[in-house]
Amino acid sequence: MKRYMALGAALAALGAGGAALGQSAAAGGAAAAQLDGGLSLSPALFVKNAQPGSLGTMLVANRSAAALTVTVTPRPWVQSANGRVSANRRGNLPGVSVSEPTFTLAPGAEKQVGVTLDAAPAGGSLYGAVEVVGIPADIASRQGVVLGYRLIGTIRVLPDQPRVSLVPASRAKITKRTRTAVLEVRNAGNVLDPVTGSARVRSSRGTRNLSVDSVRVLPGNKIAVPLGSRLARGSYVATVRLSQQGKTRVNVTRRFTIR
Amino acid sequence: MPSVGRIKQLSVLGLTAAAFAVPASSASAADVWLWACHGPGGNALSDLGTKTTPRATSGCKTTGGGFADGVKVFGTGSSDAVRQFGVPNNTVLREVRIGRQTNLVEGQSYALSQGGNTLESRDAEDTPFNGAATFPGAEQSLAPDAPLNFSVNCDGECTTPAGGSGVSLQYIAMRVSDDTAPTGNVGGWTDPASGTLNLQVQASDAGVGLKSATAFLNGTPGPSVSFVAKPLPEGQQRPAEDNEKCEDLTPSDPSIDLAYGAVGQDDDVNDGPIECLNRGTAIVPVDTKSVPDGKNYTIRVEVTDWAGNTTVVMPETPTEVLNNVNLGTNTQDLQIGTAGIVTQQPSTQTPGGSSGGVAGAIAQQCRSPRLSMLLAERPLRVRRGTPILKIGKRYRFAGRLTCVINGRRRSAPKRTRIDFFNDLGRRTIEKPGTTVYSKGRIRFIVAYRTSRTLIFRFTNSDGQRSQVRIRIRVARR
Repeated sequence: MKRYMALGAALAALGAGGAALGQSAAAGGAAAAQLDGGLSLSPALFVKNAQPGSLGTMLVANRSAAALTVTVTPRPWVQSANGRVSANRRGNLPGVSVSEPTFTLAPGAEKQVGVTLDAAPAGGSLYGAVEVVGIPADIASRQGVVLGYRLIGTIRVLPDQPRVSLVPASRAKITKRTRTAVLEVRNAGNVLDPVTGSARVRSSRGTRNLSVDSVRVLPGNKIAVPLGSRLARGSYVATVRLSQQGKTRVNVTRRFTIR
Repeated sequence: MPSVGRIKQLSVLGLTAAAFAVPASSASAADVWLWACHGPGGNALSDLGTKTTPRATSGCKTTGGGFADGVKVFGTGSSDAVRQFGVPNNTVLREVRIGRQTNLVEGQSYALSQGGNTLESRDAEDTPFNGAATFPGAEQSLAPDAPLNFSVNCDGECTTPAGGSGVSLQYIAMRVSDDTAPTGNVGGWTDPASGTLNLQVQASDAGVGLKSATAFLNGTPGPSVSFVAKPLPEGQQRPAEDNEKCEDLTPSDPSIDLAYGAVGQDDDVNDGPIECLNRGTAIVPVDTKSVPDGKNYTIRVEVTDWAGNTTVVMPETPTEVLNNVNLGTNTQDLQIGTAGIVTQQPSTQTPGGSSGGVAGAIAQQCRSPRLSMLLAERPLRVRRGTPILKIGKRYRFAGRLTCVINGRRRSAPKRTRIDFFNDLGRRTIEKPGTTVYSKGRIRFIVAYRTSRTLIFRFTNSDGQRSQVRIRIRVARR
């Protein structure tokens, strides 16, 4: 019989803080449904300056009725063009280690796990996640869907010398099929402060005044500022204004044509 | 009989408050004593009313006058005498009491009959009657509505003294029952109500007559108002007020004693006297200032007749009392802008009701407005960045307005006003604007015969403005 495992994941995103508590995301049978709790992580946010050393200690607790095999792994973020982030499970966060990568937690047991910054980040800052996965210790003997937990904490290593820089692309990016235009903006700095702004897109038919919702851009990453979708054929002039840390960082005009 | 004009008038008034015209309930009634000639305390009741035949009498003018001041049913040698007392319409005769004295000559006989039954009789040879007599309906088999007939007859030749001889009636009392409840309707009710609400109660009663109308504010009765007849037309007067008053002759007694001559009279306003009204009007005041302002009040109106029949002519009607209207202030801060956004602010709401002013009209800024407007239809062509529209053809312009509300950018609330101008080069004229509908969307449909620049503008009360200018050219093809 094929075995399935469902991971109940709680994601502490880039901007989130506080404790993360895993809740069952899928039914694990009648016994699982009657458990008092699950896997918990506290604190879920580590904020430190870029000095090698301990970032802090987190408490991993098993509030479920079954023994859990817990794996703690620092992960880098991966960010999509619209700004959404998720922990990249394909790699480890360089320069960060944990004291207990793997351990087994009995029901009701807790474990202190230290998080350490091994070396100063090359870019002056480091932003990543701490992934805590808990699966039942007896998963090999279980059948059917098994409930597991995946908790995401946040690590922010702040730069000693903040550098704010947003670099817009020289051209708007056009997707012909959907007649969508975006302006890519890269975070060339080392800070993670939210970026907000507006875009004014003029054409012969009129003007669109768009707003850019608050978004954090990982250093080195790009986000796409939407300039419109399902645009009519014609020439457009887009004026994009972005601000970060209360100052206007980008104020550019880009012309593009939808053919 | 009521005149046609009167009937018409009553019909029209009934329409004004038709909702309250249905009797809701009635209370049980008590019997009423009707007294003729003298009352229960010996007081004179000179007017016998229209239910008596003949009506005129020379007696009944002196209080405590006794038989000498009674109604004379006297025959002479050449003629008999009859006196009839009718029973008021829609009442049932239950009992009769009389005080009489017979003085008959030979050949004369006296009889009191009712509905074919002789209640008492006497000849000259018999011992004369001199005192009171009671005829209960159960024993005497009184007919419900037949009149009482007092007759003095002469068989053959009767030698009567000057002025005649027969029977002298000191008093005649009839106990009647009236089970017919009054009906009516109410006008003049308003909601909300303020000050003294004068309810115009029009009612009718088929029995002994209307007594009073009473209004209840939240169950608390106000003053009971007696009914009055409709005033006569200008220039007309009723006959002299020598008739009996419609009032209880024994106010300290629980029984109802009325003058016989005041009940069941012709109430045609243009004819005879009216006392106990079968149709009438009462202006019933409701003092709304006796209670604090509020919405959860009720007003009820009851009409009672003299027999105690009570009818609810206006059932419990929810009424708001509003004596202290918030008239606002004579000063008002002028908000610069044409499109203030109206939204609810739950945190400022007073639990259980608003704190005054127009409900929900708490102006909130549309902070950082962003207006987008586009020509939503294909133009003839575009030349040098300007759309060319067909002359006179209707084109739709669509857009959206967003604001920062509670820290987030959201669609502008519905009914937010958008201004619309036309820049014709030398002058700019204002055109009828529009308002935002759902999801912040805006729509204009325009048709032009000349080129111009369209200006769509939103200005919030802080003067923050967001506008879109769209230059158009017009061509025939």
